[in-house]
Amino acid sequence: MALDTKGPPPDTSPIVIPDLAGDDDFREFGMAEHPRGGFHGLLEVIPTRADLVLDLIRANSLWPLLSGLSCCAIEMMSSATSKNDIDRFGMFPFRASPRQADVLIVAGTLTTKMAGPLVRLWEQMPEPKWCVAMGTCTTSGGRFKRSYSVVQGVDRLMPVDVYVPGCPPRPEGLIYGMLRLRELVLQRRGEWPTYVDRGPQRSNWEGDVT
Amino acid sequence: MTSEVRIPDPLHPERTEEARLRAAAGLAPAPSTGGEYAGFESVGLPDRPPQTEREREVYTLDEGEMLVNIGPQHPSTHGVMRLVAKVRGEVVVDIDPVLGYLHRGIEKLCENATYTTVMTYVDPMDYLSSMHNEHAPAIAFEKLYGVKAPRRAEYIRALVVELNRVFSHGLMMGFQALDMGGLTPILYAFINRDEVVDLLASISGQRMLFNFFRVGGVNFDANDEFFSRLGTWRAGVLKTIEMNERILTDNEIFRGRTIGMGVLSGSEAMALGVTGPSLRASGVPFDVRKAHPYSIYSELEFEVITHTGGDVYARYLQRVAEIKQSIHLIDQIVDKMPHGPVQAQVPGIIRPKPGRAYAAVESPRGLYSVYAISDGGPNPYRFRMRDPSFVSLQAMPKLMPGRLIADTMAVMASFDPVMGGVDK
Repeated sequence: MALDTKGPPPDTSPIVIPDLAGDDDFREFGMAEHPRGGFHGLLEVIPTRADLVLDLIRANSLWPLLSGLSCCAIEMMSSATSKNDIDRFGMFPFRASPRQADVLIVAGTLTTKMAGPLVRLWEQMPEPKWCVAMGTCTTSGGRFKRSYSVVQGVDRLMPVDVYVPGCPPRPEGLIYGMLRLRELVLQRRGEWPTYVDRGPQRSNWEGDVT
Repeated sequence: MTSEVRIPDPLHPERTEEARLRAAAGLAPAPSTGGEYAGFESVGLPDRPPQTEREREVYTLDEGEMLVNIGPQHPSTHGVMRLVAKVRGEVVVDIDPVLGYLHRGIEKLCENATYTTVMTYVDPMDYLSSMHNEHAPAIAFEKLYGVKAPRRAEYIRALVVELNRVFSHGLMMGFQALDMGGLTPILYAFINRDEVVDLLASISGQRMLFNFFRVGGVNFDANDEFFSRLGTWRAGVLKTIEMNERILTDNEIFRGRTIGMGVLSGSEAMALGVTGPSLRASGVPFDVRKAHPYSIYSELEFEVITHTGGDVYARYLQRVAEIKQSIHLIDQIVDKMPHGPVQAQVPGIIRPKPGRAYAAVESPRGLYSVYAISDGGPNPYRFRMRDPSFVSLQAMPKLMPGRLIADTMAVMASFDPVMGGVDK
């Protein structure tokens, strides 16, 4: 799988600086006239939506939860080390606590015994949060589809935003999936924002860790 | 079991003082008070009466003791391992590994698969040594079916298996440091690992779960490009290994935390069934490659490396020495590599005669063996794996009492367990 680093073509249209009325309002802030029109100085005013800025911040610091289940966890760790440096995209600090994590990368086969603790981790993560299903085991059960103890896809337990196929996917594949997730965050697609009332949190899940 | 408590009890300083005074006066230790069965509330298991004596022992709390749950999600690098530690302050009193969080029913799946597709199911078992996982079933099925792999196939098998051992032991060096708080060695270990798995991917087509071995041979031949890349890798492999050695082996903090920690004597290790580098680090020269030679190991020159310490540091040194031994073996294998076919004439679906076969290989974690029973059909009637991580894990409750809770992960990492193999 080739890594798509190009993205959409850059916007080459000329910069249009709006002709601001009431010049005196800006001069009194100590701002000077720009040679191409408009004003510049210490107080540059950027009219924008707060959500846009927040989304940029969110998309550029997607911190995954340090929770490897099995084989895919090794490739997930490989994507974080020197050769496939996922740190370039602001995704490196694998947080050990779900309170500090944004993305749950389900890396590896999810068994029925582990399902309770994993759902609990997912519910402990603060909103907004995203889920990446890494590998075929988490997508559909994969090579363990016929097993009696394997959850056949984590989307039976939690909403999944990005599926990364492969058994296990290459680290480049995971990085590609995380970049797709970044687009998804910026465009506000997928499972977010959905502030669904999930009702009271389950507390007595069998095999649960409190 | 009778390890001495090295630091004073922070919760009850008078207790150890009293014990010291009593011992000085020649009196027997004070009888234990308390001893009430605590139940599972604090570690989140369903409350039920203890099923075994061992369970009653772990979950019965004395005064000043409490249960601490570690896992299944935790920052150390052993997958979904879960430990329930009984602690008094910072001192571990007892430890109980709770298994089954990665139980995927591999044995049952193998019994419903044809002999060739068994290889795809045993791959993700011990996912850091997939080549070894396939080697033992391949040998066992060849015994069952009565076919021999060609000599070039045997040499390629030995080559990929030793390559796998190099990156598995290399990763153990990194994990050992990471579990003790050092981040740098894992970066070097993964540089080495990525080089080796790219090499193995160029011969098998997969990076991690190789699916390379077949009944009666291997899937692909090693071509000139592979040997060219192998030579490039061989020229630079010792660089990352020695970089890690320089960081760790003479590191004052690393030595201080590992020497004398988790000492397992040779007889104890044999009684527990611990095999592999952990056993040889205790001074027992048992190596399946030498004791029961399989494949082509009887034609290669190597000595069984042992260390005498039996502690975490010795187990670490044992791995480092075995990396260099494996590289030495790879040199010999490439020198002696014969020409010829790599796959015997075997149909896609084989039906061996009814019978039983056992095969054992030396995996990076110890003796990995399979036992297959055929009833004449296309599937194994019974297929059983003995995974060394599972057996090594039971040394933990023997080693940890009296040690600090921060050292639990250091001792754990020195056995290098892989949860995929433990839970199967």
